[in-house]
Parts: sequence; structure tokens; C-alpha cells
Amino acid sequence: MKVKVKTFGSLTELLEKEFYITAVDTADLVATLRAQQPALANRSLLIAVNNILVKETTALAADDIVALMPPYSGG
Amino acid sequence: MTDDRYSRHYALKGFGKVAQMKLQQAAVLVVGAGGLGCPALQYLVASGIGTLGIVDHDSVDISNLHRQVLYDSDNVGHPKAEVAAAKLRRQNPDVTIYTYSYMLQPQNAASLLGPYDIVIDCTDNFATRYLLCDACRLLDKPLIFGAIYQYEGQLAVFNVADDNGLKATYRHLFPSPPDPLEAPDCNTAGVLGVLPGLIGTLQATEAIKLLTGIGTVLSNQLMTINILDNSSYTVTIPNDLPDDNSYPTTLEGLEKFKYDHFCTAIDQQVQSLRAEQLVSHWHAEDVLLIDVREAVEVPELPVDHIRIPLAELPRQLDRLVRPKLVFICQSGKRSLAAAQFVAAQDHQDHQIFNLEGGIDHLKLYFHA
Repeated sequence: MKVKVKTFGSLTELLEKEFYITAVDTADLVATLRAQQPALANRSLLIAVNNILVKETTALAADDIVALMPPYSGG
Repeated sequence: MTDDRYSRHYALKGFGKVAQMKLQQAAVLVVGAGGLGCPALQYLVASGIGTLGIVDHDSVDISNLHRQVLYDSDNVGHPKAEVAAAKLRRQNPDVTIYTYSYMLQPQNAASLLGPYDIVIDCTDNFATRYLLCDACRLLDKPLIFGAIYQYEGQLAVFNVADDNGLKATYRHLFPSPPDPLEAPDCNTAGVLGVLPGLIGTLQATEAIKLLTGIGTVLSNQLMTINILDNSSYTVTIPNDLPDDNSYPTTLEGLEKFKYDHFCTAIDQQVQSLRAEQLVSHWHAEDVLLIDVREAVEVPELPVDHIRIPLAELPRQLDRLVRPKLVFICQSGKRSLAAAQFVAAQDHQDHQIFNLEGGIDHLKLYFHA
């Protein structure tokens, strides 16, 4: 499925801020991105599909919006 | 309380004297008097909060002044909590202000947080953030979270139940801390000076809403704000999200938890083990295999092992009796959390391993 990915914080230094990608589920999506960008390998990130956080592998449908969000520490 | 000072609150539809009285009776603790803490403190004081606590062990540095707007050039080198309190008392003498010019620690967290109704996380490091998260969860205190990175801020309200009774915490978002190098603070990454002004003000707003019961707070939600393109993005933390990590479950456990280790040096303490490495050692007498999956999960490991579901781990540390501990789960995630938890307990007589990829990777060897 072709989905839209939005990235946040320091992840925008490794990936485009917004882009489209084809993936069957969130695990497939992350694996594809990690293969393209090895620096992502051990990054902590939250995955939200259509504004809902997911922890388990989640199937993706066409036009879903997947957000990838890292933790911020500054205060 | 003088009537004139709060007259615009009294005149405000949906607020009025009743809400103002609630603020006057409330006690709020602000942890960190830096970029986020300054605006949060100023607006809470201006609003007429009854009692305010300020925790900060640091002194004013000249590099703070572009964003920490309570301080001026003459304050450089002076303790932040004291300087802030002196200015805030002049700003509004109605407010009782207590200062704590030392670090929040596992040993003092319960007594520091105890007297306050709401805690605001304006800290700048993961060790204190995880400590606050766990302490507020154990003490059942609302925690208003704010964090910043360059041009973006995150905001959330933890430990406040939604209609389903769910109370999300920071550990629902990030069960274990990242490598500090991948989430640099403002000193390293830089920050636009107005950003914490915006996020800290929103933290004060959420506190005022919670205390007075107006509006809807960001409970079980995480909002990210980007000041470069004026966008905001809010995600919901669903109530079926597994809270699959080990953390202190009692105040006694909290006191002993080594947050500094947990957030910095863990990588050196937990060694990653590949399936083929494990197979050649799993019968050794000094190795203990610990399966941290739930009791119902299969397949069972085909060799000698013990099972301690992750949530039970804090109460069963006395079963970890051999020098080499190998934590195992289905995919390697929960076992990493388990290994990090045990490493944070500072068991120096143990070598701690995590099976990379979990049983999914190990299955190949089950009949070998």
C-alpha cells in the first residue's frame, strides 16, 4: 500500500520530512526505511497510524498517514 | 487576594471567582526552572496559584539568557531557584513560593512531590524525566510533560484518567530511554529562544485547565508543535497499548532504582547475544535463561530455563541466582527492557545479556 510518512524532530535529519512509500504494514515500513538509512537502526521512535499510536505491527491501507516521532529531551 | 488583580479572570465567561478560588487553593510543583520552567512559573504566579514549588539545582549561565526570561545578566552564577523565587514574589506576593535548590533524586522524590496537586516536567534530561514519570505514577499525581528539540516541542498530560479510566505515562510512549546521543539537549542541538516560551506557556495552560476543570486537557495524547511551519500534530495513545516494560512498582523500588545508569550507561552493561552464540552456551552451569514472556506464550524454550513475565520481574529479582543472565522473549524487545531493568538495579556480580531477535531467531535451533 502506498502511504504517506511524516517525520519529526531529529528524524528529519535522516529522512525527508514528508514522503510516500509502499509497505504492507508498519514493520515492513520500518524495515524498508532502515535498509535505506542504516543510521535509523537503533533509533527510538514512536509510530502513529492516522494519528493513533501503535506498538504492535499494524497493517497499512492506501493513503494512511504514518508519523515517526523520536523522543525530545530539551527543556 | 485583591479583587483588582484577578478582575479579568472574574469577568471571563466560564471562569469567574469559582475557578480563581480553585487556583488559589492549589499547589503546583515545577521541576526545572530553565527554558520551559520560566514561562510556566511566570504565568502560574500571575494567575494566582496558591502555592508553587520550584526545583532546580543549577545556576544561571549566560547561554541561558536568550530563552530563560526570568533571568538577567546580573543573575549569572546565582542559583536559578532562588533568583526565580525572588522575582516571582515581587510579581505576585499572593503566591507562597518554596524553593528546592537541589536535584530531584529517587530518594527525595516522594517527599518533594507529596504536598503538591500537580507536577510540571520542565526538565532537560531523560534520567529526571523517567524518575518523574515513575514517581508521579506511584503517587497518582497529574504530570504535565513538555520537551523541546530545536524548532519543535512535545506536550502531554500524564496520569489523568480519560473516560475509559486509562492513564497514560511517558513509559507508554517510550518504555526505555534512547541513547543520549540520538536525543541531544538544547546545549548540544541548539534551540530557538521563543520555542520553550511557547511550550512552557502551554504547560501552564494545561495546569490551569486541570485545576479549574475548564476545557479538555491533552490526557492520553501527545501533541507536537513545529514553529517553523506553524503546524501541530496530535496523536492518541490508545487504551489497549501494552505497557510492556519493567519499572519500579513501589516507592521503595523507586528509591533504589538507578536512573542515571538506566539512561546513560546501560548499553555497556547489557550485552547483545545472537541466537547462534546462545546455542553454544545454553547448557553452561553459570548461565541462567530467563523467559520474560507471559505464562501462556509458546513455544516453550527446549532447554533448562525459568519464566518470569516482565511485569513480575521487580518482585522476583531474588530468582536471578547465576552469574550470567540471558533474557529472552518473542522478539527481543521485552527482554531488552528486562535486561535494562536488571542492569539498573546495579547487580555488579552479574553479566547481563539480551537475546537479539528473541525466540523468533532461536526457533531454527530448537531441534538441532
